[in-house]
Amino acid sequence: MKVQVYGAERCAKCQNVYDSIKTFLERHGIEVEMEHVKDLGKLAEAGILMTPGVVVDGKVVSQGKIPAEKDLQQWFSVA
Amino acid sequence: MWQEALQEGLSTLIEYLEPLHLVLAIFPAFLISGAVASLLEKESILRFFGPTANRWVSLSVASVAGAVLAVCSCSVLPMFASMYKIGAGIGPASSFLYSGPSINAAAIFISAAMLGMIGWTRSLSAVFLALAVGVCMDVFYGLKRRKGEVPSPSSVSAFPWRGLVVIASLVSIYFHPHPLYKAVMLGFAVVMGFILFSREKRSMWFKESWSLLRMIFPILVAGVFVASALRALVPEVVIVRLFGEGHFPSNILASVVGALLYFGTLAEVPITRSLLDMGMAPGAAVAFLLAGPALSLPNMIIINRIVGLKKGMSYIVLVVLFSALAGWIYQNVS
Repeated sequence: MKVQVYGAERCAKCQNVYDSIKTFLERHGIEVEMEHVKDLGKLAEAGILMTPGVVVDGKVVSQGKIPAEKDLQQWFSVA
Repeated sequence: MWQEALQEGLSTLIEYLEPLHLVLAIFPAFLISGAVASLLEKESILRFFGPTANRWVSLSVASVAGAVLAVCSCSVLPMFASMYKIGAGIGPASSFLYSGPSINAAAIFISAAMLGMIGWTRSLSAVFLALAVGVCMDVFYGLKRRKGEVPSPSSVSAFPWRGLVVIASLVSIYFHPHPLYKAVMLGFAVVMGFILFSREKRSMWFKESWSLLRMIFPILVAGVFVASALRALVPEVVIVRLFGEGHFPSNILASVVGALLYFGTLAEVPITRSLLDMGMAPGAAVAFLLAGPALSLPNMIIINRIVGLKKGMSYIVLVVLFSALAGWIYQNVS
């Protein structure tokens, strides 16, 4: 499994999303490859219009918002 | 001379940091931005920016969308790039890029608090000019719209009336100058926040406002300091001669200077205040404010890299021209 957070330099919200996913995964003991992508060109390639964007295994699951706890539970199948 | 500059900077800073003004005029701007960022569902707007969206709808929405989408200028460029590459194309992307820095919530209300009528003019004209710039870019280049996947909004969310109630009460703070009125509206907005939102949402609202405040307020304070120190260093005669006349060439100059300089988020506002105090004509101030945050040397380079030199330069020229034009109109109407 691979998680990518798409953001921009100086984007506090994007960093926030990255950190909260990371903490969530650590808390539940899930081992996942994580990447924080800050390259503007890659944003469009991933199909994201609005930062922060979250891509799980190549699929855009969230953009332009801070995902809620229950979204995270759903993506990583945590009951 | 340096001592004088320091003194001037400090005294303006003290005046600016007057607690009542801070609490009732500056801080609510951040509360509004925070509320826009956290209390409104914005995903449904994205469908207007897809490659299949109607061009006119897309252009119009893009011209005003900055108000809810561009919480800070750092989110404008990435979205511009994506809108151009996979979304509605160069026209709407340009509209969004131009209006975003001028009409996000923090920009609107901080400009209004510090510049009064000129601040409101800035925000209002930004919308119309953004539309004009977008239409021009679409006419020049828009036919080659790229094909791509439609970014699919996962769900169409319900009308976000709760968030709008809170935001509307915060916005109304700016409608009347009386401190008591402002305080009552501020209190009302916070109470509404407590009634209408869950604890989780509310804490997101405050957290978002706080992080924006932490990010923008220091730049603003630094801007105030630098801008007023400048007053001691640059002779007023220079400003009056360059920008005081209110004719079209001086608006063009204001627009070009604004476009070249880089301002930290919203630092353009105190700088304009200073320039106005030194004798800049209101029209030139409007031109300066409009072109300033929309363009800077670093972001020109990025824009050119994203869309190519020809489109990038066309955009830059359009922004400079239209901003100067807006200044000229304001000068002659007011």
